[in-house]
Amino acid sequence: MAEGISRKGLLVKWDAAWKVPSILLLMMSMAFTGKPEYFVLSPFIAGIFTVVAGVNYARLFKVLKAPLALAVAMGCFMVFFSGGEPYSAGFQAVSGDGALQAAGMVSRVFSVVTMGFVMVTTTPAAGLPASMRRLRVPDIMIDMAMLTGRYVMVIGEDYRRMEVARRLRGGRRILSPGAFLEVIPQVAAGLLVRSFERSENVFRVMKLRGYGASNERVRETVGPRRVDLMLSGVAILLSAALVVPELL
Amino acid sequence: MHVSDGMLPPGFCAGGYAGSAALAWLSVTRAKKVYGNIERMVPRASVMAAAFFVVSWIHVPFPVVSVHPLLVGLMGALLGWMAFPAVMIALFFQAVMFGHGGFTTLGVNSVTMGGAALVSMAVYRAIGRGSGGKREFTAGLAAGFTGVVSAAAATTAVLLLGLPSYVDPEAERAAVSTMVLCHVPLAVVEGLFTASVMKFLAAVSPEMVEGNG
Repeated sequence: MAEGISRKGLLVKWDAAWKVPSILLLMMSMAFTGKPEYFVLSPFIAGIFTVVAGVNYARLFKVLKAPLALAVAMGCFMVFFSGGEPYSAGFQAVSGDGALQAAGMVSRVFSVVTMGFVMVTTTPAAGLPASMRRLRVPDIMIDMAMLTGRYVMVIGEDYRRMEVARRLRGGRRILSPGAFLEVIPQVAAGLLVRSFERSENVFRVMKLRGYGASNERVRETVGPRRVDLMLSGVAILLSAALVVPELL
Repeated sequence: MHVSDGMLPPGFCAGGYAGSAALAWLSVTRAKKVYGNIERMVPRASVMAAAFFVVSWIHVPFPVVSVHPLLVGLMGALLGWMAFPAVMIALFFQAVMFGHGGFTTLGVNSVTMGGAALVSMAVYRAIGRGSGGKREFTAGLAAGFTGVVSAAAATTAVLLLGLPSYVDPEAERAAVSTMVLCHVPLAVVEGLFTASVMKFLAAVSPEMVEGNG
């Protein structure tokens, strides 16, 4: 869960086992829309969710930058290389259908990425493994995800320490491409060797704690609360509102 | 290289999830057969996935721009069949922590990049097998190069197939070729990077290289 989000917020209270499939369904529905009237409706729905969640807009903008840039680039490609009725724009003929599709793509990217951001920032990490189990994600994937999440920061710290040590020994901060290929593979390989040794220790500790002794895992059977049903219902209704007119 | 949320129609996203589930099942089943003790591979693949994630923070100085290594070739060479689930989890964390890629496109991205890791694994095995560590550099170079080129080709193909059908097919083909050609210099750098790492590992920690590739 991101800093600055209230733990008492409505979307934070929404159980991840209900929230993740509901928001994913809404995101898929937003990706399905193609009618021009939805080019405004989808971003509007996403906007309401960001307000309710109370997200950090500076972080949201940072996350949106790259996907929107790619969407605009793809949009330009569609404007110039689509069929349909051509319009003259100076030296180049552009396609009206292509322009409409390009606008739709930018709108979809904005809405879906924003909803993904809302989903991540309002989900506390502590309850995630139990929620993933209830979603029937295979145990091996959950174990791997939890271990990777646990060690990313530890290994990141290892890397920072190795970089500081390298520079204290006279290494340059910014390397030329040639020097880069000489120095950085050794740093990366050193990091991988450390990680390999660490993984052997982790395995021994896991074995001592009984890992692999039984394939039976505890799956909590907590029923949905009123807030889960209400918010999932809202998400399903919104998804239907986006998809049904498109199909008719 | 990551396809972001909203770029692809839902059918593609659902197909991506189905494809990635099938490839993950195949990878784990094959890993159980090849390595026997899959429990040992879980912490190894996870901690190594975390290390790959950290190494991908290192930016390569490239004329005009700076890019980060993709490392699918290195993952394929070092983790073998477990590379696919490791790539999948790394992509999930990239989506959660930095917003790279997306949640609806996680399946598609896993298929394009995890598939590229499996292709790299096959290339690495084909060249490096039976050489007793003598061909690590060549095998690593080929694995790193193939990983980037196949990931770039798959990503571009998916992006263009996801576009409306009335986009000019000639322009589509030209765009695929251009995108793949643009990635060739990056593939060469990644190949050299992978080759140097593999050579270093073969000399310093041969047990990491043996048995996986």
